[in-house]
Amino acid sequence: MRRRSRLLLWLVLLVLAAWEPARAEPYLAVQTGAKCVACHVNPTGGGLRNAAGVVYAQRVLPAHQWPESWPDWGGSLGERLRVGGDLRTGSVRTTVPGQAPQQVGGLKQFRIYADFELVAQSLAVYVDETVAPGTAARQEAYVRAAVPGTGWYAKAGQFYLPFGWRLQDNSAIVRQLSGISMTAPDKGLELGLELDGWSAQWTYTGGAANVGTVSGRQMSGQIVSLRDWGRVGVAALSTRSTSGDRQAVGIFGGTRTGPLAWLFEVDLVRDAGFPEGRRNLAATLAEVNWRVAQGHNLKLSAELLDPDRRIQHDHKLRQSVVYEYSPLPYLQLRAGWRRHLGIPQNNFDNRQQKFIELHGLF
Amino acid sequence: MAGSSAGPPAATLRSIQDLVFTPICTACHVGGAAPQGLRLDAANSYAMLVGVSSVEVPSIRRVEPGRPDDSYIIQKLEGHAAVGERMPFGGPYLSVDTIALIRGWIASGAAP
Repeated sequence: MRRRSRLLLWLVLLVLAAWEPARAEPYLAVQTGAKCVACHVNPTGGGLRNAAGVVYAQRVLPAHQWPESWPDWGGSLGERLRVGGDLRTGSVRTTVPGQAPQQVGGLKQFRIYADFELVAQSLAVYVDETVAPGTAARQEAYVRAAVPGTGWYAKAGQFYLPFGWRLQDNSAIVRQLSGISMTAPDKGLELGLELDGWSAQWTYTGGAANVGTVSGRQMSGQIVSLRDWGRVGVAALSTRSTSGDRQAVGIFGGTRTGPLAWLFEVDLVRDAGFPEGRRNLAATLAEVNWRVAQGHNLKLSAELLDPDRRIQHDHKLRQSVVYEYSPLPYLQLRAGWRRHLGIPQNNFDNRQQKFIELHGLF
Repeated sequence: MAGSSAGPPAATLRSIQDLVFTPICTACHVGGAAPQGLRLDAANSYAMLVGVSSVEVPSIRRVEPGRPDDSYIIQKLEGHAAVGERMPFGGPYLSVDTIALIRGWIASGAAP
């Protein structure tokens, strides 16, 4: 029994030592002028961090440092294996007009990642698995091949698609409308090219919504140009589906002015999957992040959804204020408020939410 | 509960569509990018729910007529499904009374 407890303790310590943010923070890329691949194993960002990303999380993000005598964690177990994880817990209070407020809290997600290099800098296997709450579920699992020195790479398997800003908030309107977020992995092939000042991806997949009784195919891609003032990108996708074909285009970008990092995205969608036939939809995001002080970030965002461009006055808005405090390496506290605004006949579309979250950021 | 003050609604697909699926679920579950391919607009909800295997746990049907405890939609709404997030995504979650309405519809045979 004691031996089992000791084994469990070691497992817990291993997992704690491997915490790492699962979701991308694109404003950091805008603030630093770096590509996603500068800090992440995945060229399109998010998930497991590389060695530079771990150093950034240790030395640049937090307000305070650990004692010098504490051992460093670089994210690797041996020369070929990198591991990481993400734990999020929190509480959210939602108020819907005409209803009693609802408060829900607890573990939101616990993920672990691993990246194993079969051939140094050329061939690797990546896995991202949700282990709680509920039973284990695979998010990403792919083989990644690269041609060193050229910038070319390919991924085959299950992965998140590139389309616009890879926001950590999967409920953001632009992520919901595009259907591409870190809740919707897809299976197929991705080709990518990383050059100085440029980044491009093209994917051929089944389509995350083409499952169960629905079948089809999807192509998507994006090109991003990085400049001294910031970056701008264009994205597009085309889905063939038995539930109705779908096309989307998006433009997104960001710039920085002193301690402020600005992000925007505009997505236009043509979707034939609605009962009445084809519908044109649009979504926008405007976000500013103010680095108030070392370890402190204030995020303000405004989003708009037009669910049918033929109909007037059916817009939905979402406004958010979020404060992020990183007191120590690998730890972040978040508190925020979101207000949804929609047609007055739908109380759900006019809800407000207050939330606090604790993130393990190893 | 998403209901009116004129008494409890009947446990029918029509009332569930009007109270839950259309105003809440179709914020995401509609159109060609509906999560898990599940469209819950009035034209598609019955055909995509009743007797159809769930994508996340294919051994469990989304709605198993007569057996609410074995219906994946109930597990997702109550937050004890084996896979994925509790629905509605991000909350607020449905009240016990509203889920009981859906349970009642399934228990009585999940008629169209």
